[in-house]
Amino acid sequence: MDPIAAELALTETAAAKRRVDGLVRTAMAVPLRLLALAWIVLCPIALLVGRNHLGPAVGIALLAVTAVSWVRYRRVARERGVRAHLWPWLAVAVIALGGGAAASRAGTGHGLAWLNIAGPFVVNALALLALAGFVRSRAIGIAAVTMLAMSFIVAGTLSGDVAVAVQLAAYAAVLMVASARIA
Amino acid sequence: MTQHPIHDIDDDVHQRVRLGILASLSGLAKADVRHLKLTLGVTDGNLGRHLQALEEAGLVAQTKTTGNGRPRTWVKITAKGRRALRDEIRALQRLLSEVGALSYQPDPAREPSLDT
Repeated sequence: MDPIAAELALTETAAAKRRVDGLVRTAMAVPLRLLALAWIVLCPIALLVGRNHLGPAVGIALLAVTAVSWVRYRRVARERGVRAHLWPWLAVAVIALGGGAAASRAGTGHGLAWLNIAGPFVVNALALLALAGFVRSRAIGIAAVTMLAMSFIVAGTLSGDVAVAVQLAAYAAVLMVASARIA
Repeated sequence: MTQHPIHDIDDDVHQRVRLGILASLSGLAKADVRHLKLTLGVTDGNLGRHLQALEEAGLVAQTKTTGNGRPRTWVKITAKGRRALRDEIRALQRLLSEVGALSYQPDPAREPSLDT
């Protein structure tokens, strides 16, 4: 086999893969932008109902993000003839919900205020970091690391429901920037 | 004795358009024929022949839908297709590094990722 033909085939395949990776990253901007909106909506709710009663609202928010993303993915498929997988986002949502609830409960159970306040957010940021690796997105990776840093700062400086509300607002801002960069 | 990498080349996959189809579908849930045609710059007939060969080999699956009164053919890569693409890329890389020990230098920026 001609090595030049083999190299050409590899180069063309790489180019096609890069195009697909770009499409997948762009598609991921949809749930991330919606998640940012959900965190903004949850901000005042955290202050009103308290951080320990936020679980159901987070669950509903993640469910709504998933449902709207699914509808949006279907519409894009109809219009552009390309449909991305939604399961990477679903994995993030399940980890954020399950892991977040477990971290919050463990924090309350063991009397660790920092785990109760920052734990669910750290789980969320770690899930997004894994997503960044999966979709090979530097923007999502930077956002996830920024979120982790924010959670550590907030856990060390603030307490109570305010700490949760501040993290929600900060995460929303970071997600907005990240989704704008990948869209 | 190690088998020469030329034997790892899959005849069903080893063709410019077929490799392009598999690479364009990897990572996506599905794409329609029109998208593939535009992406790969091929004619309907040419694409149709290659899609048929890939489907017969179990590497892609096609489904037809009618939305807004317009028939549409969707194509998705199968698990076997993803494996075949990954193996083909590996085989080509091995082949190039063996024959091209003279001139070929792998360039990570231009090499396709094996994560299909």
